[in-house]
Amino acid sequence: MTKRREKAEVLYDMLSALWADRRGLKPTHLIYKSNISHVRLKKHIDELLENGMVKEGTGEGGHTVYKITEKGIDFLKEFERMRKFMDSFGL
Amino acid sequence: MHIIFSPIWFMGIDSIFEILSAIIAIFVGFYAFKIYRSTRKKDFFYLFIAFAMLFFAFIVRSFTDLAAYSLFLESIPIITKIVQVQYVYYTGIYTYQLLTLLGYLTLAILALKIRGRRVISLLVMFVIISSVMSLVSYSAFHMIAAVMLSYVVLHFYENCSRKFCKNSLLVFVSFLLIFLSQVIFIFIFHTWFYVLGQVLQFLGYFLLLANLILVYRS
Repeated sequence: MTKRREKAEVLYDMLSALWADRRGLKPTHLIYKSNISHVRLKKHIDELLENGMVKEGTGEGGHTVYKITEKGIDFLKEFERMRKFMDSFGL
Repeated sequence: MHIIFSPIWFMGIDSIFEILSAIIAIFVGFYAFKIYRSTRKKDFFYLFIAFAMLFFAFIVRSFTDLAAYSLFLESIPIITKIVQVQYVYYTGIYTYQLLTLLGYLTLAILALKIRGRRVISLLVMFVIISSVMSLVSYSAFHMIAAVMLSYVVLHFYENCSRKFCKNSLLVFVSFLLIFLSQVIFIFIFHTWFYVLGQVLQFLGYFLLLANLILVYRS
């Protein structure tokens, strides 16, 4: 149970970091900004790519960058709504 | 025991309030369930259960009221009328009281963060016994509901002072109104108390809807 709760929040943190910098983030920056391990990043980014919430691109130096998609933005908005509801009940 | 508290002009309006409150309760419940599915936070599953029970409670209550009123207003002999109204009333009201108390108990368990299964089962047993006893004394049901809601209101007050925002304020005020409605129902001396209690209770649920709308529009 705790595992899934954490997962939703990790995905939210990752997408928030990508939303804050919409030009795209390198994997190392994403690790740093969403405060997760490399192993977790790999696991979750694959899921986000699969679900179409994140897309892979190439940065100025030819390195891999991740960018948030419209679907990812929708997830972020929905999660923020849920947070508001959760906070209003204080549970 | 006194059965019908509503003034004649308010008969039916109270049922509309109850149906609308039921709809609001199920909307809130479904949103809580949606959060549970996304986050797996058990508290939101219990919140869904609480509001689902309140939904069924209001539905049962509104139909019980409508059935009792239609019998009351029918032109049949007074003795037949009393017997029929009592039969309809007791069947529906027991279900209503049990579901309402279970719904508020679930909210109180969440507010007080009670986790022990034995404690919870003990409380559920008390609620079942209380709802049977409430059939004898009308005000007993509202007293128990008011006591449970007082803990819920305290939790939402603390939450509101901790994380003050429109949403937490709306939830606190809505439960405060629902609590006050139960207190008013305890002291029903006049039909106006019943009207006031119903209006406050509906306003409480309406504010829960306002919170949901505010969440959706953000």
